[in-house]
Amino acid sequence: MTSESSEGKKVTLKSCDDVEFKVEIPVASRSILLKNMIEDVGETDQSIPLPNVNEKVLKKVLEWCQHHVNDPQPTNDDDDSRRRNTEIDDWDQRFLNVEQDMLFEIILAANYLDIKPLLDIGCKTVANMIKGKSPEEIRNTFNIVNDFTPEEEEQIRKENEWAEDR
Amino acid sequence: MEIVPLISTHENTTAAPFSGACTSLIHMPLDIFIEICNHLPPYDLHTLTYVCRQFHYWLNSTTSYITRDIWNYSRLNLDEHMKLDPPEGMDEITFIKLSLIEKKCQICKNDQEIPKIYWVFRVRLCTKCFRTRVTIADTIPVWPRDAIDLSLILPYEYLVTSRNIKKCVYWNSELISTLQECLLIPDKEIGDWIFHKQTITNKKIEDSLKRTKNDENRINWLLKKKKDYLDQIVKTLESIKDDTGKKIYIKKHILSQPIYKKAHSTLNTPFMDTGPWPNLLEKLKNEYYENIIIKQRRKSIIYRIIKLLTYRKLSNTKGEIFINDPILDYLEWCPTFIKPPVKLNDVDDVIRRIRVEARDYLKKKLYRRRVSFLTIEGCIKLLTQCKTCAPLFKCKLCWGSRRKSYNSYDEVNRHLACQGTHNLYYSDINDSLIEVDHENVKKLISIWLSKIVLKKTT
Repeated sequence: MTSESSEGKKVTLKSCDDVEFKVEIPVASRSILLKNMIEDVGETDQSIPLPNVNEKVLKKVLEWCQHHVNDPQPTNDDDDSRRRNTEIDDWDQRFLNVEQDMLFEIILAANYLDIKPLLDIGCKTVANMIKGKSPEEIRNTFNIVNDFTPEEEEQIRKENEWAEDR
Repeated sequence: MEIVPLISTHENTTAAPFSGACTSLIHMPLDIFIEICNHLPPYDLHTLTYVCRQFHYWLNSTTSYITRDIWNYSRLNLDEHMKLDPPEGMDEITFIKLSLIEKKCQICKNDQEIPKIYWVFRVRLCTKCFRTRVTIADTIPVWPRDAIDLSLILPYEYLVTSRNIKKCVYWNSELISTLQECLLIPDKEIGDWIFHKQTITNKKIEDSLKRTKNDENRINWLLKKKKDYLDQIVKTLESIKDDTGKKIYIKKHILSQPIYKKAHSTLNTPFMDTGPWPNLLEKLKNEYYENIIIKQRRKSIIYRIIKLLTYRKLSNTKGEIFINDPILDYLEWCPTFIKPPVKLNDVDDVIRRIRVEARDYLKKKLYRRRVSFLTIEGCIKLLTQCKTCAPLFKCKLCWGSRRKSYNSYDEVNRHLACQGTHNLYYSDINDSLIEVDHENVKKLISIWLSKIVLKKTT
């Protein structure tokens, strides 16, 4: 399906909390899941239910799809190169500058809807939040409970002694 | 360390919650956790294993293919000089720890020199510890079976002595165990045994040569990469311009930031996975913003306030600021002043916002209002804060050419008390005879704003 032929045509998406979004087909096709669905079903007036995504997240995800509507579809060949590139462009950076819950929900939605580039920048953002931090700092950042016993903690400290940076 | 995640403090770790009830890193399904790990260098994976039981379990399993793949991916894709696979018999995680994560000598934890990995012995040691754990070939006493050439069956490394002579050395414990093993071998099998040992040794040494060379190249590459990376970051910052095409980041200031200095001071080591290095560009940007840009913004706000105070109406809006304006009293608490907006195109607009905030404080009485600058008490306080003298006080009784301003409250009182000036009784002298010189107060407020308030807020 080329973007020329589907110009102007819209598809209706329904979030899990029953909010409907009318979206242009090229925008919705950023999601491989939706793209395949639209291709399989053909033109339809019925809305596509998305039981795993709520209104707030779907709105955000569609905002991303709208902005990146003209990006080339990713192929499997550049799978590695996309990962190695650690830079996130400014727009995406601002887009993902959201509360942590929202960030993870976007990641989950991108995974479910099969939007590789969005999943990637989401995971990259999380990875950047982890990089260079100590275990304690990571726990604080992500609100994780330290569930090691004191003995295990001591063991960890010992194991780490010669790994610390100067 | 064997840690089994029997009880996890984090519930619901398997199902993916989409409803938003518990979306956090710990609740991510495994496939997303793997995706995130694929963006992390080995050092950070190693840190993750010590965050909680679940990550430890996911990243420290010696049997799981998923674990191995995560580490393998990280090694191969995030470090271009780590393409050699682990040596025979060593698992991926141990290999990565030895060659990438551990940085100090495994025995003395010394970090004065970058310890070398002796691949034949599979250890990372400083020269001093290495020396105490090896035996120099020439010094070995007579071998029980003198027909055997040790150098053929025992893996060896080289030790450079203080006279810069390379000596062939054996690992102490290996020497002893081989010796015992040799004594137990029956005579007729000794030939096969030697052949077997020889094959292993040759392989090890060959493999080790390859790895040592790789390590050397890698360290040089890392040192260069580190320096280039830092230079690149400065260049990137310098190339960022604002809407008017003016540079935002000035090199001189970039180089003076503590985080840049810290990064620069560690250029002699090849490691980049902790300290200032991860996300350096972001960190430097933030620090620069905090230390330089915010200060500049506050300065321009203060200059504008001073202008509005001294010249009154500059703009056609209601911009004038009076001496008893709440802006002056509450400025140092106003959020807009403490954290000025990113874009400061219209200072007057910012001042309007500060005015609203200041009035709000006045109404809510959140902070005690300063004593008015128009009162004698306010002037005395102003002088103490500025630690200076200024002609703020006037005698109401003087007139014409004798009328002058006095530098301090004491001075004006002395003038009033002086016999022969106005012939007053001591009991008649009080503050009602003193007035405040408005113009001079304004001047001093300008100094107070630009010196004291600005400094206080930063």
